[in-house]
Amino acid sequence: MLDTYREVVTPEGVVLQLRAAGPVPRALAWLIDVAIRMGIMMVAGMVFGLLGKAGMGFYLIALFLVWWFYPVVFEALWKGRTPGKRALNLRVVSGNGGPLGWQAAFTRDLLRVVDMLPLLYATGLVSCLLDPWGRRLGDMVANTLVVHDAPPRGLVEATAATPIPLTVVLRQHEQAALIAFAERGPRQSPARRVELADLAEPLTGLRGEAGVHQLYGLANGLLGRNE
Amino acid sequence: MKIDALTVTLRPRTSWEAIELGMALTRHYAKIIWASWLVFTLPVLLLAHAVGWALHRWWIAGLLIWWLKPLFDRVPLYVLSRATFGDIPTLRQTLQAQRRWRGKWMWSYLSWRRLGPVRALYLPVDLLEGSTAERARVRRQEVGSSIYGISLLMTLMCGLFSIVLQLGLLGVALLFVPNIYLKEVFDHAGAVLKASPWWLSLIINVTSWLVMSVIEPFYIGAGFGLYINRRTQLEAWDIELTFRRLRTRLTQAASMLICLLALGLAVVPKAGHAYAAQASANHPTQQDADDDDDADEREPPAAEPKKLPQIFGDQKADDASFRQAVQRAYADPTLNPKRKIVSWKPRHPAPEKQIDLPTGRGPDLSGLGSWIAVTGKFILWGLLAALVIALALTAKRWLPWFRDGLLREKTGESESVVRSEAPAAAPLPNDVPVAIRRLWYGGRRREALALLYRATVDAMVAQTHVMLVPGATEAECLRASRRLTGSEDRDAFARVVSMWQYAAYAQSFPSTEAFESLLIELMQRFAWGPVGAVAGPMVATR
Repeated sequence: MLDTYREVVTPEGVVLQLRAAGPVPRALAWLIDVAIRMGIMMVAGMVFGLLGKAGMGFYLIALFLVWWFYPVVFEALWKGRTPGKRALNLRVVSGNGGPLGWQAAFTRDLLRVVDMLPLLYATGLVSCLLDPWGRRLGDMVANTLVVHDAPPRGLVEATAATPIPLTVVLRQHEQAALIAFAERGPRQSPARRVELADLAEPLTGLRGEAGVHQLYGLANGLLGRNE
Repeated sequence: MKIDALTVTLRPRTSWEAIELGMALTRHYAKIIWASWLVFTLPVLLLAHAVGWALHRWWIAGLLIWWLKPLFDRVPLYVLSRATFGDIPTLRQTLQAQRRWRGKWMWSYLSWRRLGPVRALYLPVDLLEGSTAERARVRRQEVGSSIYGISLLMTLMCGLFSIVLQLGLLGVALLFVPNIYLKEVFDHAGAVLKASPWWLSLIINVTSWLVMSVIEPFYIGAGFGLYINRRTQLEAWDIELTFRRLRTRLTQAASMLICLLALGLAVVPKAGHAYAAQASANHPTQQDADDDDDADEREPPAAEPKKLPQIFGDQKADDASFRQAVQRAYADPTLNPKRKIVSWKPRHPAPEKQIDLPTGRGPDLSGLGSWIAVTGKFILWGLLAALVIALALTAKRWLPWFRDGLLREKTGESESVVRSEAPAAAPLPNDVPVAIRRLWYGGRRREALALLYRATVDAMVAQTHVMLVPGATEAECLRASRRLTGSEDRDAFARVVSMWQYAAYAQSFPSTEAFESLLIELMQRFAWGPVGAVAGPMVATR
């Protein structure tokens, strides 16, 4: 089965699923970061402009620092996020899913020199398009990965119904599907809802609207609700 | 649509992740996509250039190629739509499908909708769903309304990617120019651009075709990913898939149970005679019912010989009510997401204040600036000197770190976590106590306790007939063991579990005496192996 996960198995045998991010959101995040840095440099230019010729020196130093250390400092200190990445709910993590260290942050920043060849990150873009986890060359060298952060889940309450205990042993993903049905069922059209519930007839023994309510009840039972 | 045959994992994704999924699909079926893309677009490229040559205007060829993009988009879209449902088309099938689609939808896509910003999302709706023009408009609205913004951004980014790659190709050419000639080349390039000879147009046309070939399949793939994700949200495909598999599993389990029941009754000839007769009478009908269920699932409507009037007789109603029902379904507010947003606004907006901006450049601080610059220069030189001296003085302390670091890196490679395979599927040995003791006295105490725990759980299951889920935890086993009849049996089971948990999670092993006493008690309770004969001598030897 094809998926966009990168699976990492920890020594404890736990499978972590990292949701790798591709070129489109990453490029957008980069654009936002560029805009922020340009804004900072414009303000700095106004301030240092007051100092005349010496201000030019300070301005160039500030340009160097802001341009090259902005990603490093943000990624290392702010859990792998720059403001642009934060806006698109992205995050840089180490290749094994752990947090990003200073060394990796510096490596991926230094390798920008290669990725931006020949113009405007063309090399990085090609690498990002071809790699299954959307990594540019800097990511490969530093062994890092840009992932989609867990989205703030819209809280959807499962439909309330009289809880019914399960009589059949269900596997975990089947239980999850039952609960998902109780959460998302009300947003389906009535006909579709009945169609789905009819598929689960061997479980409920009922068809039509009655089957839908039986499924809601089973889901409430799984959720451990009392009345 | 066969949802069972899907080759992608369905789950509720955010729209960004749907884009990643679509791009992953393009990458996965890259071979057939780009092969058919080349076969389809190369002749068009040549044809367009023939037209340009005939008209002596080469830029027309480039414009033509760019304008025909929606036509080319159908190639990756067809491959993706088939491959996602497990049927990877061949090159011939892909090209035939282009002919079969003919000009359907293409008139609008090549004329007034050519500049539509979410083509990648709307193409699947129009081409794959095959509905009438009016219905397709409603569908586009329904599928696209909530993800229009993201599709728009995606189109924008893909356009930017094309520009970046095009400039990148130009940059590669410039990389080969030695630095001393760079200025000359730029001067010359300006003149060439003004003259714009035919070969320059040709190069631009071919490179833009190359760039389009790289980006466009990814763009269409991303749009297709968005489309699939939206349908999954709207129609709960993931739930349907799980329910279908659950249905298959449960019906299979049920038919197997009936078979076992019939077999068991046949073995007991006299006591269950009447039941057996009944069961064998029931059995075929049950099987028939199951077969019917299976047939329902497969749904071969083409093989149905009956006609509608034959089935429904005079119950067959006019189409009009059905059409009305469809109309009503479309009028359902849940299908047409419209929101009303209420907000407060001041009735008399305050007039904007005029901010007095300072007109001049402010006070002239250049004297202060040059003073800071001079002092700064001396301070920086001083800092550099101090740093070099400090490094030289402390060389003895930091030089070994580098050597250690190098050594550690070399040895670090060979370190790896040793994992032993869990023998979950291995059957229990015939004589459990002997096997356990062999492991324990052989120094493999953890494995001994693991075997003891498994054997006890097995014995408990044999006595209570509970059904344990695969991968049941210790707590679940303990809960199941409440069904054991004797309270001492339950105690013994609980002690085995706690002994195993101490060993497994805390590395704290029991003393040999405690282990032996528990093992002997279990042997008596669950009647494992010969009790006295083996236990005596083994204990004596220790």
